[in-house]
Amino acid sequence: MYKYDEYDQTLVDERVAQFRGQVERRLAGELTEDEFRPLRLMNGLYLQLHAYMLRIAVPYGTLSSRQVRKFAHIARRYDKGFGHFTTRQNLQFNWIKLEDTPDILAELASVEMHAMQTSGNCVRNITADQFAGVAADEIEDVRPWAEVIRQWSTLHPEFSFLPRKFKIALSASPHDRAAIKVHDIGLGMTRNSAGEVGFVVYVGGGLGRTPFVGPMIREFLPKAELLGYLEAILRVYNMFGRRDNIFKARIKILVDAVGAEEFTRLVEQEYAASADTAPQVSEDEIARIAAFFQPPAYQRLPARDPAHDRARLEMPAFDRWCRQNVAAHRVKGYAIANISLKPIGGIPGDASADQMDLIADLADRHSFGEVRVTHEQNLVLPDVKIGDLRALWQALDEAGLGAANLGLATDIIACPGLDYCSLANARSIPIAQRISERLGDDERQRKIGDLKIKISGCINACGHHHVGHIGILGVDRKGEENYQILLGGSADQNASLAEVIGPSFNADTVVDGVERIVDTYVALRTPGETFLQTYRRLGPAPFKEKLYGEAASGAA
Amino acid sequence: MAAAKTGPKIMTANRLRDGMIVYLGPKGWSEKITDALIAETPEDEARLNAVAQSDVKDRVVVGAYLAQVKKTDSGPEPLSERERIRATGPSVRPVGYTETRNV
Repeated sequence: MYKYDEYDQTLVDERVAQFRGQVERRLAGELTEDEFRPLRLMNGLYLQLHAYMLRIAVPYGTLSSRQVRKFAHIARRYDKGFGHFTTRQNLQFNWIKLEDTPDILAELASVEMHAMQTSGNCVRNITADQFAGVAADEIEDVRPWAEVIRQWSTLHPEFSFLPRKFKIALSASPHDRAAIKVHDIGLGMTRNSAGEVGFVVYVGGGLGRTPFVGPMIREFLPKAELLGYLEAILRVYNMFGRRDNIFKARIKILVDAVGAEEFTRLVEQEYAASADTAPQVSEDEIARIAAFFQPPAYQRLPARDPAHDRARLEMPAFDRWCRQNVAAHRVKGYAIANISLKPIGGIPGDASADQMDLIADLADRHSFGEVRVTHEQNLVLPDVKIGDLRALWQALDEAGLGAANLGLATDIIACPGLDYCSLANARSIPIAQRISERLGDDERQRKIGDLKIKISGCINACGHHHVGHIGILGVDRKGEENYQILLGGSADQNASLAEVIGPSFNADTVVDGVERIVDTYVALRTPGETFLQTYRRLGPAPFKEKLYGEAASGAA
Repeated sequence: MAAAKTGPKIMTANRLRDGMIVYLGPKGWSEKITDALIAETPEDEARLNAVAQSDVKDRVVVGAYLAQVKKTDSGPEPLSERERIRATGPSVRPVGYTETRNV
């Protein structure tokens, strides 16, 4: 993975010193809260429902074991013993003290991490496919480009005061695991007819109050032109994006207002006009950065490991985990191991300090010291020898990290919700827990098959409810927590926005409602059809009827 | 700063240094909602506001506001779920959680 050079290290060290000074001035009364707030937000420090919340950047979801151990240490020393992985591959701590934050940032800087630009009207964490570099289906590792964009967008003088936040995601596989079509800019690595590698560019996707699937504005962008083109997009946004209304300030509003065609024209016009001054990444520089992402020293292994195959025959629980959580690796004899942070009835995306330390150890032992974070709030050990999977699984299982539920009904995305977030209207975590318990039987989950349930506690959609197969949105209905159910969303390459199915439910009936929807699907599906396929075939009618047709009590 | 709604209210904020939720009582800001002074008249509210704003200026607290409560035998009880959760911590785990398992 990328290693800081002296410039990178100086940047974060000086940033820590600067923030330390700002905190001192705040505490001494030389800065008011209004003056200080934007400064602390630019370092990812929010004033939240219980205390300050610190959001730490995990660039393109890649972590070293050393960094994971640092998270564990911070959790123990400065917080309450656990952290939360987010839908942008970042990590959040919920009980941070302002006076401790400079020390925490210094600790992070010592392991090449920071919390810069995880808030504020700037380019946020660059996210990417969690299987980058190891996926069997990818064109090439997209992370060098994610790193290029990260460096370019960090403290960029022209783009530090955008109309609103700006989120960029990258993928290099036909199967999009990074939700690029619902980002402000989505970049999909692709090949043109001449076999050259470049990017397809989507702009104006997003969730929240006004969700959109981003239209494609460029079918093929040569790699070398990436930064110049991004600059053109951001310049058009900076120029024409609204600043009068916080709810209409994202680039998606602009793209929708002028139309994709006109927006494309504006970008191409800006791009052409800036041809002489467009930022370039030299071949040498891209090679230098790519060198950090060279594959590790894989052993030459046979495709099959008989001991592994036997273990799967002898241990059904291990077999289930392999079936569900282990993905194909591009190198023979290796596998991608997904660690579910969604234990049945547990809090999605949370990991305790002890679990983090264990994961760091397992990464060192089994995955060349590297861990990935997924936008669905799970973790990945990307480079595990097939022969090591059993020992890995056993260790994970003992620590409550062995749930064999990747992509199944209990692999739920939930935002922190009203339990943690001052923006929320309703709690999301208890709903996730109860749905997980209701559908948690192994047999039943596997029978249901692929099902993405995503829960947000408010319209800001940090829980991605707009792109859930089943989405749940918490609303406030006359002071009571209520939940809207939406169906048919998807964040992958066939992205779609979920549709509200009908009137909202309360905290008890929403769980019943979800179960009824699931049972309806199972009853109506054709052999091998997933939930999403059935919904797309039949539409909402049969589900509506099952939910509301019998005037179900509790349906609001 | 005064809330538009009527009924008893308490003054709450985040402590500046550590972000903890605090309530304004006779001995200053307390982490216990049971220590909070209850404002029942506009003058009560004005008094709480004045002290709170002074403490914001003096960098004791940040984000102070009046929250609606009802008076009970065990002290003020928030009317909204948000204030309840602020007072008691996340409903999904107790404040002070440091267990090793993710439950």
